[in-house]
Amino acid sequence: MNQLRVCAIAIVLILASANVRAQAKSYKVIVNPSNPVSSISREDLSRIFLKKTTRFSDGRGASPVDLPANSATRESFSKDVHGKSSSAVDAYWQQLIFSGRDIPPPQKNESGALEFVRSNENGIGYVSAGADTEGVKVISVTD
Amino acid sequence: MIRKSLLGLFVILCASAMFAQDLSNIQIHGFVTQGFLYSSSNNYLSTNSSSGSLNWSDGVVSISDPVSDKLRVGIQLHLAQLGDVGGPTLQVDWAAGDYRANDKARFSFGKVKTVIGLFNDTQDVDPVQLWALLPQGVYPIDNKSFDLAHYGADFYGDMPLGERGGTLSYRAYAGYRTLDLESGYVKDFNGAMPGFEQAFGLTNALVTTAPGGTVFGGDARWQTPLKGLLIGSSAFAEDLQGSAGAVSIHAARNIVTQQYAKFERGKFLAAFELKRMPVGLTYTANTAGGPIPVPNPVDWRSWYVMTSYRATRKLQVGTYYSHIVDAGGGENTSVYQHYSKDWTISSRYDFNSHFYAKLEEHFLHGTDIGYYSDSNPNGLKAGSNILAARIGFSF
Repeated sequence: MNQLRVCAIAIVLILASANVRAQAKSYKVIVNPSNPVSSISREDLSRIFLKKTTRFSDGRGASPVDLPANSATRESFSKDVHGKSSSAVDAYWQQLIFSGRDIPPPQKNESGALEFVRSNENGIGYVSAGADTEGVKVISVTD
Repeated sequence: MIRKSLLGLFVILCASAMFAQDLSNIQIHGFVTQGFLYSSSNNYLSTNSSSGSLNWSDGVVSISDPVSDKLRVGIQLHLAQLGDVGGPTLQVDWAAGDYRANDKARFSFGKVKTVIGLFNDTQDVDPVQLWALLPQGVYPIDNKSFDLAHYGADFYGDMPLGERGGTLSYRAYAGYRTLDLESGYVKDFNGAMPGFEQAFGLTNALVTTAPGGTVFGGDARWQTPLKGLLIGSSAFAEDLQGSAGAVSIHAARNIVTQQYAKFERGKFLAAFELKRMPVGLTYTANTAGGPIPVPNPVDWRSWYVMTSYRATRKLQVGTYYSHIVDAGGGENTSVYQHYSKDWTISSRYDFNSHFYAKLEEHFLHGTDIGYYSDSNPNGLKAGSNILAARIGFSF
């Protein structure tokens, strides 16, 4: 009986955790329809958007596009994927910009990001959970 | 003159963009800062800080163009003044091309910022630092122009070591660099020349052409599997040649080493660096009777520990202890003229993503660095407290 109770509690905790993570994800990651990937790890996604790599794990080129700095979707993406606020990510980019080491991905509004990904076979971006994603492919983010 | 130049630069920056604009693919960024120094005794960093000094300003504009997926070019211009150091002449911080063959093989060429330790290539970028003044024993602001960049080429890259290995980042570079005529080192050289003129019957001993020399070195840093822990080491070899009229200035090739570690997680940061910079400097008085060498070696050994905490989304606080001694020529490092100890407490407030302000207090003991005889004609006291404040705007 005790074992059953422990299992039930564990199941409830797991489901609650998954529900919290599902609720927190207010964005969708999008790629060009020609891109064969259907999922991407959180770590790989972070590395692409911080330009620590320019490739997907299968070797295909990756060209990220960001949303504007004041976007709520960007804040949610930043905390969930990078584990940092968007202002902390901005500080990271300032170090790279003013030391000449790199520049951040282009920033576009949501319709601009969708168009960027549609027209760029290496494009990868993110939009709000309710955005119309016609012409692009939505991929899942794994841990 | 400097304030008019900075005002003009600020107007240009504002006219072109209040916020970073993405003009097609070109990215333009910049910042301006205004600082204030007040010291309880001694005039610090060639300013009139004992009376309060606003002679501390900065302005930068950075322009980058991603020409292709693999190639990026850019330039960064800088105006800076701190007391007698710096000046109204626009300086090129860096102007380089960057080619990315792949993540493990990247090349930079042109005037490239030099990666040494944790902060060398960003020491002049006030918006990214909590501190108004970085630990001066390792990052002397009055001489940053010499270490900041080199004309040459870099090879660098990142190598993931697997899920349990972290990431190794590496860099090797070779090039040439020159001393800024408005830098602290040239001020020191010129400060020594009246003695040479008197001792050897010379005239017009003044550095008017920038001394320079070769530099080659590297950096390796390991982002460890322990989240937030970075460990690294830098080393470079340098030499220097120049002249002040009939006095030759020569520093034989020396090797500078710097080890560092940083732990950063969430709101907390801690860092440590250890640096050794031995310089076999020799002045040679070229007299009518022949050259007379006058050795003037230095052996700077410095370290610091720092920690900071982001108390709120807008407020960050921190403290560091910095220590440097000059053991060159067998100097007695227990006398205050040959060491500098600096305990600092600091705070930074971000009004928004563009405006910020810093306030910090330094409790200094020792006068080996940061002081010049022409701004302290009555000599130096062993200890001085320094209030440093800065406001800045970045985009």
